[in-house]
Amino acid sequence: MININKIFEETKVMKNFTLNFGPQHPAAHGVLRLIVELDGETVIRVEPHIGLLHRGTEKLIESKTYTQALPYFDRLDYVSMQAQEHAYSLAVEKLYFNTLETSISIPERAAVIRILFSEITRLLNHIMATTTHAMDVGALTPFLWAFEEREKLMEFYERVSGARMHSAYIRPGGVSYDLPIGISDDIYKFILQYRKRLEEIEDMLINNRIWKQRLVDVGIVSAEQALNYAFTGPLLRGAGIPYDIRKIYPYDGYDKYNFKIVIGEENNSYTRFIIRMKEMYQSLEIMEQALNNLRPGLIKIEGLNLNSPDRALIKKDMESCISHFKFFSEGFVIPANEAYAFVEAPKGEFGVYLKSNDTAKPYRCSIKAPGFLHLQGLNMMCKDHLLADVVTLIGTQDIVFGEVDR
Amino acid sequence: MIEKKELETQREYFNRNNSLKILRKDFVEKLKKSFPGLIKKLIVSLDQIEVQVEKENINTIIKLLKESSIVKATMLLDIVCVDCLNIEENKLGRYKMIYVLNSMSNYIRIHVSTFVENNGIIESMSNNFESAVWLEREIWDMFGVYFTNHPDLRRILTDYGFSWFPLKKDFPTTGYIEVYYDIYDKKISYKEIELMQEYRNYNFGLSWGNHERKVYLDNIIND
Repeated sequence: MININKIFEETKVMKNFTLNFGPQHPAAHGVLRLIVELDGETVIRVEPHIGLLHRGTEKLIESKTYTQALPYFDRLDYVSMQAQEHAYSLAVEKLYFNTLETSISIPERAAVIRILFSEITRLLNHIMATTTHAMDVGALTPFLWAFEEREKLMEFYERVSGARMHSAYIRPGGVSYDLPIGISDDIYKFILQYRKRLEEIEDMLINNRIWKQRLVDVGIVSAEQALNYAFTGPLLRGAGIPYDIRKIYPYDGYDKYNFKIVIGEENNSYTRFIIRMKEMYQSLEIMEQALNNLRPGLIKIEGLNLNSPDRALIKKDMESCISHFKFFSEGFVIPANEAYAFVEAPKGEFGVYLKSNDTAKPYRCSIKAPGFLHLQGLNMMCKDHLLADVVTLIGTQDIVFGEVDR
Repeated sequence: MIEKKELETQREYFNRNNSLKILRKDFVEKLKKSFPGLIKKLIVSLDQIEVQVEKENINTIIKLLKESSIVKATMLLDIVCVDCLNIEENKLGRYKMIYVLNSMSNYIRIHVSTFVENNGIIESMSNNFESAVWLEREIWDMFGVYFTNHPDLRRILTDYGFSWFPLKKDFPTTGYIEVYYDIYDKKISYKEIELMQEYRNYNFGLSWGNHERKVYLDNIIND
């Protein structure tokens, strides 16, 4: 006869397993610490612990002049540098011109160069996002192929500003230097051959069985959820909402360019991967148009104290020499006002809030990073997935800790 | 996976460019009518609308903005907090909070702002927007503004065991403690900060550039 009491005694109490993921894990894209609560292999709850790369950027900017604050923006999201410089420059310009109550805009050539380099930045970021994602999931080859191309793009950065990554090229009032001779030709050559490279990478991944098994139906986010969590960039466009700041709040003449917003239908990791790939084609198209729009002209506003005078003038003209010294030692004063500028950074919407108080330093600089809000949704996205999918989801969110922790 | 032609947005965008001013004027009037008595001040600038409200009404008005069919502010993109210790706004309250909303129906940015006094509390926005949870955690971490009804109000960016509010204007940039590795105890520990030289903050008297600016603007007007 079966002794029921004995059976009940032997029944073991099942407990959820709590696992620490990171902070030093190669798939965590930096210093992400996750506390993962598991039921067997199924994820019940994920709790991100962030702030391990917190450098107090916002606080530091408060004690720097508007010019000195610019390089901090390179170091936020360190794979899409110039997009953030662009946001900051737009914020300073907005602040400056709103207080003057004039609607001056930066020179045409400067705007075109800005757009050209913003799109180069988008390529840089999307190469990094898609291929390191592939590497996390197990495909190493696209990474090796695309980083060859990424190096070429960084060379353009270097030729134009002298630095491979943290270029401080887009500055309030324009860009810091004019394009060197021959760079437009080389960018054009790059565009021509990069389309083929992209196709190769697509061949490797789009119909790859393993890749699809790992990505399709992983991390589905509905449009409602995406809006509620304030996702931007590919995470929101994947849900079929055509939200692209370049189209709906155009800045620096993006409205003159002909390109498409790429949107998806079912917002899973695979959709977002394809959106990123297709966005690269759109970026190439914008770059081509920008090269065609490039005309000789000024590269920064001259005559205002918003940027430093031209190098050649400093040598000849005493006033320019004084201005140059004053610009880099004291900076320029902006009367009390506030401005909020935002751009379509490769990862999503990147916003900068600036408040001035009639001194040469910003009173407050608040940075809205897309990655911060994306990471908040990680718990929602990971729920009921397997532990291995957590890595896929971190990859698909395209997290970079420079901007999440600021 | 389809690459859709976003005709809808294209059209909307061109319409928007053509009738931007009319639209905004219309919009502002509707906004005024919809929330009688709730709006303290309405500042309409070139590309955004700032709505100033009382602290107590913040949740009501944002909920109304979210659910109203003319605004449809379904995204809370950012919450900006400013410590107004050294500036004029301090009279209204120490912390200025700006809720950055995006209207999805006609693509207008709406900034809802309010003031919170020192050591003040404000109601959490997290029952309207999930995105507010971390944004508010960050503000609590950085400024010490307390949010009621918040599901999970812990520190987020600072170190475990950190006990100050670093973005307050009376917190020094250098901080109070520093981390070091103790070679004898073989562990990481904290000590009071030691600076090799005093922290320097240069603040010049500032008047440079006004003349140049004036000449420049005069030239533009004369042209």
